[in-house]
Amino acid sequence: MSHKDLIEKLAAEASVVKRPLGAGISTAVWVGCSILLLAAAFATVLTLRNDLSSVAGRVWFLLNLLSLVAVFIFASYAGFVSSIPGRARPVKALAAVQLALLGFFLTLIPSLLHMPFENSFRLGINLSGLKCTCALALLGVVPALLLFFAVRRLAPVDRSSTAKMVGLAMGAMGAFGLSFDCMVPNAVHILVYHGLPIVLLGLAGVLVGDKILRW
Amino acid sequence: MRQAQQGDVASYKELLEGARVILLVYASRTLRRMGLHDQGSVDDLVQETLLAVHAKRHTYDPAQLFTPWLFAIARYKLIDFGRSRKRAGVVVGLEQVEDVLEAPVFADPTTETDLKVLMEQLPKKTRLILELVKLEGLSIAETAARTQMSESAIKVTVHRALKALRLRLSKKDME
Repeated sequence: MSHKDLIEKLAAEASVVKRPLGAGISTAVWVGCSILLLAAAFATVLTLRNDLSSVAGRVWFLLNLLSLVAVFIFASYAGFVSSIPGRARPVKALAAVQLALLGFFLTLIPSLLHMPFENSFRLGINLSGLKCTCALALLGVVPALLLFFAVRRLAPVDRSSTAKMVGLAMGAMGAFGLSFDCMVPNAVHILVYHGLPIVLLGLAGVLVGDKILRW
Repeated sequence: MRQAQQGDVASYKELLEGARVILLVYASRTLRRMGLHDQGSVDDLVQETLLAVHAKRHTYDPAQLFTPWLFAIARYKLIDFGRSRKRAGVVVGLEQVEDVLEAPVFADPTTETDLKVLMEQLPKKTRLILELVKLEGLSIAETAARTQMSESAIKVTVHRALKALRLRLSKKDME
């Protein structure tokens, strides 16, 4: 087909297009929907941890939650921005994601320092911890699918980076939900079974993003 | 593009024609640099990009400049194209690409509109000087004579105007 024919064909298909929401509003909508989904999960399947009222007053727990919230907000925002052609790389949002993730791990340090080394590892790392990782993935999968289809509907020009952001948002959303369910106080457990999956999901995004976000 | 997003067939056709000219030059030059140049590849890449522009036209924000959006899609398609064609480029004769290279890069109305939008934000006198020097191609001395300013003042004004344009363009990008 010649260029002229193609242009004729495409021009004939011209129609009123519906503009997508801006990156900020899209992020707000996604965060809102995801929180509602988490709330629905707690209302039906999961139960809130018994000690929630006591841990809610602890600064480190709150900082931990705050850093997870920052990760999924900034990661989803960066995902949306990088899916709009011609927009500059969301450098500040990407930096905020890294800082928030770093903040999450830093909030665990005080607890790690106050625990006997051997004890913390023996109690923190065991196979039952994998249940938490599975729960994290299950809690994050639906929000991640929502985000995935939302960015796919746009035009992600940097597929790996966008998919990494989707993976990080999924992990952070799952870990955020899990914080209200998992009662294991061990910082090593949180580090290995709540924190590490976030990073791994981000890496998985980098690996598969190129294929799954092709357009 | 604004009108095209409203379903205006004539405007959309004009836009695609303009984009085609830009994309032909872009594809030809970049494929040559990548060692993948041949007329068939150029045509394929241009058509791929036009199809992508059509499929993703809803992502264009009318408040933003059009050309960065177009080139982002073109670059994306180029990278994909380069990956799919991991082979050495075919050397073609000059006559085969002559029409491509002769195509005016900035004849596209959208590029001119982008430049116009940016220039309109400059003070009137600065804009006039920049138009005379950079668009009409007058020398510093000729511009100084026409605007009744000193040559050094013209140089300073042009320098500041370009700096302001660069700043506005980067701000626009950041938004």
